[in-house]
Amino acid sequence: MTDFYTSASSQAHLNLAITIASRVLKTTLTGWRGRLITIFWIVLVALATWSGATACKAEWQAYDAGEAAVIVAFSDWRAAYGSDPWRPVDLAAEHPIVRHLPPAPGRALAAGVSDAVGTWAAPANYHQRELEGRKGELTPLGILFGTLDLAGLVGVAGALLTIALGFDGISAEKERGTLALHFANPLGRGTFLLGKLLGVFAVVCCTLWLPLLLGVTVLGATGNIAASWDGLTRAVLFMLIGLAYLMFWTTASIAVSAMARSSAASVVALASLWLVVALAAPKVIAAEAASRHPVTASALLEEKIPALRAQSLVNYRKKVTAYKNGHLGATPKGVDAARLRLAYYDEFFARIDHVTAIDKTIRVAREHSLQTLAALSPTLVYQLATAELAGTDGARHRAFIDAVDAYARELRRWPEQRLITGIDTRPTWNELPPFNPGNAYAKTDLNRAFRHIGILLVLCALAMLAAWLAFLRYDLRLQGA
Amino acid sequence: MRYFTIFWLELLQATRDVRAGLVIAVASLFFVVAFTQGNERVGVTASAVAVSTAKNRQAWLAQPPQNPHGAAHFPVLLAKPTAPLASLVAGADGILPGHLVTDAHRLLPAKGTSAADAPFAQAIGTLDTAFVIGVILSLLAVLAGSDLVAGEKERGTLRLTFANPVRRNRWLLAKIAGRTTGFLVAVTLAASLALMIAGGVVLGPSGLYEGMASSAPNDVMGRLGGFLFLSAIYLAVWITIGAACSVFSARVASATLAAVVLWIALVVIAPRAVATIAELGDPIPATSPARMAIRVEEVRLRRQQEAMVETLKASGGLKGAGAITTTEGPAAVRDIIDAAAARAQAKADAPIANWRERQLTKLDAFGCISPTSLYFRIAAGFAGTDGQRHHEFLNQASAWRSAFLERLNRLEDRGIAEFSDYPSVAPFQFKETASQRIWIQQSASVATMLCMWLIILLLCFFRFKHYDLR
Repeated sequence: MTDFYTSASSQAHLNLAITIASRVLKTTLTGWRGRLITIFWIVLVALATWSGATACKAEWQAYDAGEAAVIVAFSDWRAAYGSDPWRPVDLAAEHPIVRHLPPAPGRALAAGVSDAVGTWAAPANYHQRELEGRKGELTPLGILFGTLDLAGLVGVAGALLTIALGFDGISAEKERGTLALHFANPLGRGTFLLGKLLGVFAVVCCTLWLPLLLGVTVLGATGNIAASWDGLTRAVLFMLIGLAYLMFWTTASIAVSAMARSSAASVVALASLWLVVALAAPKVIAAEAASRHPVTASALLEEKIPALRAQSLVNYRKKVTAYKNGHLGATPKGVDAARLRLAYYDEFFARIDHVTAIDKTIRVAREHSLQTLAALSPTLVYQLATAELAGTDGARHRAFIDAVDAYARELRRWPEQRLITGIDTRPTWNELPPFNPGNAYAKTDLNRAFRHIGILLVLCALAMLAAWLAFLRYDLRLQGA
Repeated sequence: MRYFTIFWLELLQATRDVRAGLVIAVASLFFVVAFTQGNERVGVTASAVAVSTAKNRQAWLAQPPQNPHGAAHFPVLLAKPTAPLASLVAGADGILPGHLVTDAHRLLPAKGTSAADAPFAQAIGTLDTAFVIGVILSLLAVLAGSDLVAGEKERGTLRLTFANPVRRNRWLLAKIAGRTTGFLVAVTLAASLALMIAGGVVLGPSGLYEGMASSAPNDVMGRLGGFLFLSAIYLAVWITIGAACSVFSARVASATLAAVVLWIALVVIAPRAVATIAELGDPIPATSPARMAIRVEEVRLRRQQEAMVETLKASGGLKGAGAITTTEGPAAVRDIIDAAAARAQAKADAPIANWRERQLTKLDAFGCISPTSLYFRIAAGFAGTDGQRHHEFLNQASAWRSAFLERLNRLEDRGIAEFSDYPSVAPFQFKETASQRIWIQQSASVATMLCMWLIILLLCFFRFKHYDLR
């Protein structure tokens, strides 16, 4: 026995750990608990897959219908003016154009902020702060609990079921009195712990991760995840993050099980950990981030816009008066009027930018704060990571609002510039400046996703270290006491 | 008397048990967080509403004399005050807009959602009192009930009990009542402790204690009473579900496992699945085409209005008229155009309104499959953080705007060229629905919750009556 400890290679330890793991895998998968959880989880994954596919399809249908309607509406709008002379202000203030946020590339995987925020905006206001067409506004209590998506399922139920699979990994051996028998053989505590961890993790992979993989594959096969390199990358990273997240809960379960004297104590401690980490902490952290960086109330910001406009109008009128004085009292028309209006818009927009810059800084600080605090809750890390991967995070939504904001300005400036170049006809749909929703996120997603996987792995390592230290000091004579 | 003794012993045991201490500790901790965050959330909103409304009013009063039509173009801010129990139940408040701004020619869309400012926080949800009761305490409640009978079976004391002349169902009822009362006592203690630590909770329509005192305190208390009553029934339902698991199982371990599985299914899964099932085969229609159609119709109607005014001018019908009449026509023309605009709006909105109605009906029906979804729906109703209060706000704001425009336009029609009596226009005040009415609205749902409780109890009685003591 002494020889084994002094001369056995790390390969021998690993072989022992793998033997323990394979026994755990075999007994759990063939036991009633493994079977029950597998069936329960398969049903849940099937529901979430179906829910994700339905939501994705509905969003695409609404998007396509909206995009088709906007061309018809623009044509009707042009026709409504009849033979009226063209005025750039018509396009600036009365156009029916609506711009739609394309459904997120991974909407079927993670709902994220999809139902809480809107999906389209009319680029007509001077400062766009939110989108319209919120599903939550139509059926507010219908989205109160969130939708049944795969990410939400893994984040909450997946964590709980992992606990159910691993809570008695070591504590049951203590209760049965078999732990001392194990250590009567040439078996290191670290090897035993590693074997148990690998065993429960293999069970979790077979029971929870494989059905999840099947769900994601079904979503991909049914066209709900784009059949492209980007779509594949998102799906693969989604599965990897899920694996890292489930690994955290596996490690936590084994760690608590190693520390607890009985399975009952282990399950109570783990359930409490789940309540705090998976359910409560994300909500508290999100509220804390918002409280640390309170944004200016929407109404307060909107209050400032009329005053900013009035200030710019004063300067505009001064310029008009100066023009009249220099042109024998003639009112500016045509190109001259367009130049004056363009200068007015530029001044007004610069004033708005000055006021809203503070608001944007606060939002960035809040986002940063949320990302930093998220490390306190693996569930929040997982939720943030999956939403970023899916494109259903706040950043994509905010980027679209900024794009619409820029487009609203473009629709004011463009007709004036067009007039200056000598074109004074009512524009057709094809002549309008193109709208770019700014949807290039793949690179950022990858970086963030890897960072989140890193955080989850660090948390796993910490939990494992705690388990190892606690288990190393465990007095075998206490078992069964 | 015999059954009262059983009840009393169970109550004493429930309060002395180590789990009662755990319930008090866990519930106090979560209540403190919920109360503190709720107060802060409501305080920030209430202060923003108060400051922005005051600034807007100040700007209205500071205007120089102008023609009434010019005054009608002032963008009046109509803000929704915080809901009476918003600090306890966040409900859908974060998703719903908080204000709208009037315009002479159209009612601009309502804006100012918390979801727009913090979308991810909204998607994650809020840790409010309703969440603590609906999710966290429901788990503790179902666990508290899960060893009620199975414990006696395992210890073998059940046979000893029924060696005495004790009726099974009365015994079970006394046990459930005792355990429920003990649990509720522990929760009440925890809430009281948390109230002391957090320094109270903010209640009332204005979001402040003073608001509660000045504007219909009975209404706030009525709503609070409803919320507390509902919460007590809800926790009792979960203890009874735990007891049912206990009656159906021979061992505490299997009863606990069944209780946890039921909890996951009914609290974590079912409420999320309800909305998904409700949308089966009936996805949300595109909402933007309505907005575009209305915009096009506005241009058409304005041209129609201009043509009518030109005709009147040509026939000499507008001689000596004020600014509004010469540009927008007399009241008769404006009424025709307004009616046509309202018809166009209703027509464009119809598909969305119909979908909404269908969804609400389905959500009402499917919501009954889980006590948790039912609880959150009723709690939001009592708190005023549901869609109903929001629609009431939109209706009242719309009515106020119509009256405001009507008054100024009629002044113009009477030939008054200058308007300066700004203080005479009273600011918008949202009228809360009386608590009695809220009780009536929620009575069917509360009755459903009571029926749910009764059914579970009957199930327990039926099974327990046929349980073979051998």
